[in-house]
Amino acid sequence: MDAAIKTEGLTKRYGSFVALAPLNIEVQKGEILGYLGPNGAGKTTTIRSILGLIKPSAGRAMIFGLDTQSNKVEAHQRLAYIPGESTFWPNLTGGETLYLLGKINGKIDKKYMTELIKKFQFDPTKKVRTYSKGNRQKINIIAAFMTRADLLIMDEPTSGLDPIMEQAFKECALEARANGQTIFLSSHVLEEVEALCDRIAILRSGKLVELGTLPQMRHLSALSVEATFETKPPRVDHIKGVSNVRVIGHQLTCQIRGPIEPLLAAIIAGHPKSLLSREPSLEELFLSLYGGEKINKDQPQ
Amino acid sequence: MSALPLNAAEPPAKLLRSPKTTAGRFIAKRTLRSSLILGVILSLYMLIKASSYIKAYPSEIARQKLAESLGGNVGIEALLGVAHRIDTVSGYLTWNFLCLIAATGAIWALVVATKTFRGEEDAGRWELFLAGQTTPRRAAINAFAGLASGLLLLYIVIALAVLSIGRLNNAGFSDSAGLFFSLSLVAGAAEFMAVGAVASQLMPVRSRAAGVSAAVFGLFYMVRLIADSTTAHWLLNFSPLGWIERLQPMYNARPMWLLPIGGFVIVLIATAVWLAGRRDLYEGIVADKDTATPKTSLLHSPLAAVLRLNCTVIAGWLAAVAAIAFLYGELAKSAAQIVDSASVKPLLSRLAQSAHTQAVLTFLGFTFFFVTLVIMVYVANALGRMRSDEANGYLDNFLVRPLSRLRWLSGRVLLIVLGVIVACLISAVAAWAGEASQHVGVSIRTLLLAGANNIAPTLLVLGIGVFAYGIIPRLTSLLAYGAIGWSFLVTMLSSGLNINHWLLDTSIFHQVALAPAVNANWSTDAVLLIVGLVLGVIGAVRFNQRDLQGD
Repeated sequence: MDAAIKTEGLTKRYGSFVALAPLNIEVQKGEILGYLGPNGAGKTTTIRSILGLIKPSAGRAMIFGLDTQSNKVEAHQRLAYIPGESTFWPNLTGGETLYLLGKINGKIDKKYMTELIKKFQFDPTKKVRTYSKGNRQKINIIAAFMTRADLLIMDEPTSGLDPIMEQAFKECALEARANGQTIFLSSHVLEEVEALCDRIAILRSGKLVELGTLPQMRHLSALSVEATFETKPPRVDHIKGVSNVRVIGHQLTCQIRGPIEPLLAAIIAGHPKSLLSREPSLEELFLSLYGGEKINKDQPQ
Repeated sequence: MSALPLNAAEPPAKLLRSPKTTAGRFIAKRTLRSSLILGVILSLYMLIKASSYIKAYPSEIARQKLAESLGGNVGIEALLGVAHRIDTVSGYLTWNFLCLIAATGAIWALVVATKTFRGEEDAGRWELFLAGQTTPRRAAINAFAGLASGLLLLYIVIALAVLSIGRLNNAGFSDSAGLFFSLSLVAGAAEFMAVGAVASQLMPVRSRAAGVSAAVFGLFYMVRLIADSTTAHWLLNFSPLGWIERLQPMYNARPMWLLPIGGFVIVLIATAVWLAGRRDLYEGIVADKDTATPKTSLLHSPLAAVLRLNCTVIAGWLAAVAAIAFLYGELAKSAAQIVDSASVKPLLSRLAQSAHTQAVLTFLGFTFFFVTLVIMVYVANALGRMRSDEANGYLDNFLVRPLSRLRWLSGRVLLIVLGVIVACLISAVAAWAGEASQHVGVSIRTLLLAGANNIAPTLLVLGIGVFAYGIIPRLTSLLAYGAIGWSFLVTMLSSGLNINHWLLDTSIFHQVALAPAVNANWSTDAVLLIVGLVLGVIGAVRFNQRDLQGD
């Protein structure tokens, strides 16, 4: 069975600069894959290569087994794309724009389009030039979901949306997954990725550095520990696997990788008032991967 | 905390520049380039024309003969203005260049002003300036300062050319007269830069601002034309282009006419600045409906959508082509009287490659030459819009959907081809209507063939543009306009200089028979078409393979 998206050594270079190192990734049908990375990591380059808007320097991308360079039109018949920002024709109304985009797609679910217009509280009679950024983004979202495409590729889809609309977007994404649609979601909103995605891929400087489910990633990462004492907290920085030790007053926070017993023994010896340990959030995972990394602002996305 | 330099190597002087003038510096940078190109082209044209006049008419007797043959001709005066003392270098220069260059500068200024005051806003960049340490009015003043620097550069380049002409043998005018003449030449640009700025404040989008500005220009141009071609010379007082003619910079100069010109510019600039502070961003003073019942006509395919989105622009171009062809057709009879005169013979004989054609047909041939130039500019403009759709992200909306690049490109190109064919045929019908109204008697069939003769060279420009679009998309407009400008310049220069035939062959116009003065050369047209087609196919293949590129 063909994967929804499969890349084989997908690479993009601009001169000597490697925007995307050979990327091998598979997105299975019906799953939501979160695609994370800081600015300039190569997320948009990946998406534009998959869509065939830019030509890979090496390797290839396939959508449901169709090469996106040689079978672009056939591949595009099975996908819909939500960019983070779009330029639409200022003198067309929102409704006219949706009609045009729907016509180019060929098939749309008109009933669902009406539902989406209502759900996103979108006024299709207004001219595009009068829309706010969020309302322009609604055109992208409605235009993509109304196609009921097998694959939805999204690049910062909730950019500009208010929290209520973000919630509406999440509902649509989950509904799409329930219908068997596949979603490739590039986002900076980690809470959104955490809530929606089955698997997460993390990109750094054009290279894929992590790929897996959130629980799998958590096992690879450190455990956060927070303890409060009556007196000065005990020293724990000498314990093997302990990092990021911070002491504020009588409160101690640190992270532990590996066996936890030596740390627990030290904390108990200090007579703690309270003790809290938790798995790292996606945000903490993300920050631990990128902490201190200098990102080149000129890197093409 | 003070702002950090973006680049450690950046010179400290740059950091000290006031952020309040950022918009002005940005606009200046963009305007200076185009004003320099325009200035150089116009200067070259003037230098060649003046030296060929001096060479062709070295004696007073020869110049007087020329004056007798040209003076008082209604057709020519409609186009170039009333002739005064064209038996002198200064009179000849004034007559040949004043109206022509003032109008050319005005059109350039309209484009630049609407691009600055409305195009930047449409693209979302003006918002960034306004978010800085400025106000809408201050930003508008800054933009005017930027545009003024472009105008100043244009003046300097033109003045250098005029002063050089003044130092030629027998030129016979002083440096101060030359500087005043140069000022008159750029006055049209100053006037219509202000018109474009006001239109940009009134209209909510650039295309409408450009349309209004062009309509104002057309109106004032017609007023000047009627004033010069009839006895109603007083009408000149009611057109800013007429005021420039009233200056008579080289003969009996009337600098007091600078007052209405200056007043017009100042009032319009003040109005534009005032209006800039009275409207919201992305809005025009003229209220436009923000909502509309969706109309889906011509939105069923990308090609139809392009037609719908550009129909006003296309209609404007077709109307302009028809108007020019009609006007020239109407003037054919009177203008033909001087076609055989020595002054225009060198050019026309080169263009027509025949010195023994009927005068009317030769003038009509010249008409079609000029109309072809306009249609070529339409093609370059359409190519520029095509590239702009890619650079601004509109194209992404199509290509992320099941639409192949080749289908999109061929649709756009087909639309331009249809536009060219319609424009060429309309020009023939309009020229026929014009000459028929004067009972000249040239058949419509002859003129339709002359119109059809211009399709191939225009499509060659399209081929060059598509080639550039596929290979170096950022240079699409430059190469398309460059091909037209180069061809025009070489052809014009060939009337005054003995140009190497290899160089002359690089001009597209040189390849075209000046129909209806001579029979159309269909085999040459076929070659031009094939070359255009080959270039277009190469461009399309490369476009299909390359990355989409922003600005």
